[in-house]
Amino acid sequence: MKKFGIGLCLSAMLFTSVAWAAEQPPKKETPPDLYEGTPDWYRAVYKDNVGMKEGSGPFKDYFKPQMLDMYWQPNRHYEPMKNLDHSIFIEKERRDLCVTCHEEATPGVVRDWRSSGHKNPKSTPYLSARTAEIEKRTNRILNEVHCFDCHADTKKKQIRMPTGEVCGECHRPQFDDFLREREVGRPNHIQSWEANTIVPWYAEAARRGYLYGQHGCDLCHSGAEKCDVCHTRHKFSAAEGRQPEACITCHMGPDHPDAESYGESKHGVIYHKEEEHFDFNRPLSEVRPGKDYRTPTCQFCHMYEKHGRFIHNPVMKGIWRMGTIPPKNLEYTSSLKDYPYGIKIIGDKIDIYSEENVAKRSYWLEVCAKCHSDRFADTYLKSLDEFMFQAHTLADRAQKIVEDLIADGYLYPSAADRDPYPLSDGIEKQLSPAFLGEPIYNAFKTLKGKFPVVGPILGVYGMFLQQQDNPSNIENMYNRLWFWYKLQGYKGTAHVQQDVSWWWGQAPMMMEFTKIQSEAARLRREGRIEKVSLTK
Amino acid sequence: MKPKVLLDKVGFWCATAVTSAALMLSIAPMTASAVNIPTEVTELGKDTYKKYCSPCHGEEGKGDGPLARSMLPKPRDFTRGAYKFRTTPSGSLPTDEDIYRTISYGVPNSTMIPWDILTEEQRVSVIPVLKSFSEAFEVRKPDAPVTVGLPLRPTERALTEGKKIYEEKLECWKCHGVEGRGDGPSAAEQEDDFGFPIKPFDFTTGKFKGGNSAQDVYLRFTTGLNGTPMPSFAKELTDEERWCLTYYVMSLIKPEETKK
Amino acid sequence: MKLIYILSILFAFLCCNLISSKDILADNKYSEIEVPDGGTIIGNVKYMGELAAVGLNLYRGWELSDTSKLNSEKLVFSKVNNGLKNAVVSLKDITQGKKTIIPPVHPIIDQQNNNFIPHTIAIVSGTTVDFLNGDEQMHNIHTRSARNQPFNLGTTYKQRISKTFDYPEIIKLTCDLHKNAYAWIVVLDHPYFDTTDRNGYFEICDIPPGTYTFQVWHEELGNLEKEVTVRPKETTTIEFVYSQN
Repeated sequence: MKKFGIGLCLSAMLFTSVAWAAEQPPKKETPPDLYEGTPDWYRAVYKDNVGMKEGSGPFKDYFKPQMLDMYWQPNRHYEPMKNLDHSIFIEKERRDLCVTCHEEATPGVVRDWRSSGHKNPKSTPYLSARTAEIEKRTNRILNEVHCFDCHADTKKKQIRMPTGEVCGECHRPQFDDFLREREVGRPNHIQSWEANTIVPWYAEAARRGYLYGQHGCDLCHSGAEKCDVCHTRHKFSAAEGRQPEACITCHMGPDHPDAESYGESKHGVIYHKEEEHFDFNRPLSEVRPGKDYRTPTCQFCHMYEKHGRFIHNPVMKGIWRMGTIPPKNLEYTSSLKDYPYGIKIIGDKIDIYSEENVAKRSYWLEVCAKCHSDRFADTYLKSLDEFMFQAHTLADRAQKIVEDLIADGYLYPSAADRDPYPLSDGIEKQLSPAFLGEPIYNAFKTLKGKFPVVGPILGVYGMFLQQQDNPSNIENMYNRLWFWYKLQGYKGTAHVQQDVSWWWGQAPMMMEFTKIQSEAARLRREGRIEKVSLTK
Repeated sequence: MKPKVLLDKVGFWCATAVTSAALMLSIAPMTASAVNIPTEVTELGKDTYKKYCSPCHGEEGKGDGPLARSMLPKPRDFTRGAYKFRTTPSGSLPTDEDIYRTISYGVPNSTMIPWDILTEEQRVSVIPVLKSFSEAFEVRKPDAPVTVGLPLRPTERALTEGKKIYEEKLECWKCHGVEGRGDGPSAAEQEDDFGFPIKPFDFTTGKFKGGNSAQDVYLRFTTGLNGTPMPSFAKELTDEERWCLTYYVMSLIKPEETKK
Repeated sequence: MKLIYILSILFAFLCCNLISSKDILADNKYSEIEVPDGGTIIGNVKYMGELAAVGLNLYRGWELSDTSKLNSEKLVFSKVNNGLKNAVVSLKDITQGKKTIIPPVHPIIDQQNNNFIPHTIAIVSGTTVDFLNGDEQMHNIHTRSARNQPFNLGTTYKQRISKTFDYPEIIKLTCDLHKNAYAWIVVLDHPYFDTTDRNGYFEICDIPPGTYTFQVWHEELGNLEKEVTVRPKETTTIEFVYSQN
């Protein structure tokens, strides 16, 4: 009997130790953080939730957010609804009730979710395998990913709007891939909110009563770091994210006519013609060109990283970076030679033939080589480079004309007689010399924004805010030349759309150039006449 | 008597007793007789109503809460005293237990969730608040609940009889459709007492709003759904006929539709 | 002990009765007296609105007026004298008068050819109405009252359903299977009322002499009021005219 007792004790100990071993948590992963490695002010500005009380970015005190930013930028601005306090459902973790009520309240959402991989994460062998990976990584059993898992903030006992970090808890590899967009800097998706909130004209426009005029800005630029921009709610389909249509709601229009140039190119036309034969359920790395895809999609080229690997972000291989940044490989006559004028938050000029870019070009050729010969593809991309060199040269000549006009004092109305640069008072107060670069900062400090700013990148303000006589006609012309027509020509050429390349790009660029020339001549003439009449 | 036979006999009677007891329990209408329902509006009731009911049903019970505008079906307007799910005859006010039942079980196919998430005390406390919204509760008293007798056995004959009633005698199909999908010829024009369009019930989904048991369905035919075009057939059909119709209607459920 | 028990039950019963009858009394201010020298009012309700001319004036111009109201029973009037049918005339502020007789023979609302016949009835509270179904198909009778207990009952061919209306109220009666069919039951708490006939005539007799407000109610045209003085044993003639649409 005694022996039996000891045995029982022993076995109990054994059992508990086994159980303990089984329950041991695996190595702890750091939780996903979209703002990892960013400076403190950045976190405070973009991340800390302030509800609708103040804006975002360095100029947060100058404007209140748009109402919808609560949804577009939930990390910063989301406020749970006040009408019905949902905390009781979260406290008691009543998962069933979410669906019971929302099945009727918002049936589309629930049906969408029902048809998603989240509802049945083990419905196909492929999905099961992927789910198993996630299960292993997160150490939990996933038979259903429920409303509750993403929308319940169990710490605050509130409903939350999921952000990239919430998705990243399970989809960590994709999240980490996406995070790498930061390596190449803007323009990218993960930092797109900066395009609104770091720039002074957004806050200035808000201050002047145009906050809701910038609705269109926020629709793309806030929340582009959220996963549901491409994998729309609540199906969050990977296949959907692989289709070109996932990109085109934002990637269109005068500054980046990607939808138009790809859509009307031979690539795009074949895609539209044979869309139903495309197998979007296949992961990009397993796509067999010619069989699964007869023509490349946005994703197939842009998300190809290198050596047969795909990466879950589309910016890593970019060389010309949207076409705004001037290349190093040209001799400039205008002040473009000093680009980026000491500003620290914008990338330096691009060396098209740097080691890194030459490598990137070879990765492009790897993609092209799925169908095209290496020589053809290389020739095509080289001619794209030539197009861009010529376009930047033309822009440089145009900028030179405008700058000379300013230097000779013929800008009319002069910078002293018109509204200063947007939010000049705020720039001086909120931005530091380290941030803006010493010379630019000093210019703002001493001249209080009463000076003309032309060309990339700060000169682009005219595209977003027109103030009293600022920018003037000739400056607007130049803005159109470099920010619209140059970029349109770039996309037309890069995406092989002849009409966009010429009639939206090169042709209007040249027309705008001669307009600038004649406008400059007119201003000089008028200025001279004025001077003569004054001296008399 | 041999022991084995004896055992068999005892076993048989035991089994019969157990099943009949179970049957009796299942027949007993679902009431909250054990719960003490307050007669006066209490602070707890007011708070609970304000927090969990008024977002949809409105502060004054008019069915006009801030969430109501985008909802279909619209939340119940309590001012008329018209409650759909009752054990009382057509037109009568509901008993307190009826209201308690609807709060606790919710109404499937609507945003009215089962509020079993609240404590029993909270649920019960809301009942006098709801009643205070309608003058009908001051003028009238609820009639005595309908007695649900022993259900008929769901035989083939009962189903055939039920089909006959559904298709010929009562012409249920005019609203509910021949297959019970709620798509009959008169379906589109139906309105409830508050002027909102109302869809005849789709039997194939199997989520009966007043409960899924045969007794519940039987009660709907007997009492009607106040405030909706659905009449009571207490006068039209005999008790037996109503059971037949109950079983026929329940036979229209399509398992593949219930999953959604 | 048993006696006390029975007595207490009786007492409780009486209490209940008292309470419930008090409820009714609170609404019913009418009291019955002998009316030996009552006067009579006869009169006519007319509709002189825009639609009255339809069918007579051929030269109205190209714009035809909306005749949808004419096709239903919403607005029925005589082409001869423009008398309005289905209007209910009643004394508005009468507090005492002749004895209320609840008709022992129940008024009937029949459903024939998917329509309620008659379209409008006026009854004194406490009256029982019989609902018939004269069609060889399913109907339902559905009321939306608040004070009188509403009901919604299915009826089949030759079915008779009796319902008592205890509180003054204007009740709409519908059949959900036939959306065009509806009827009105006007319940009043005194016996001084009449429903106009197809030529718009009505008659109310045995009114205690005095000055009263007369009221006409019509489902489509709304209310009209007029002050009338009733003299003992005399007949007064009045006329109501709806001139709007």
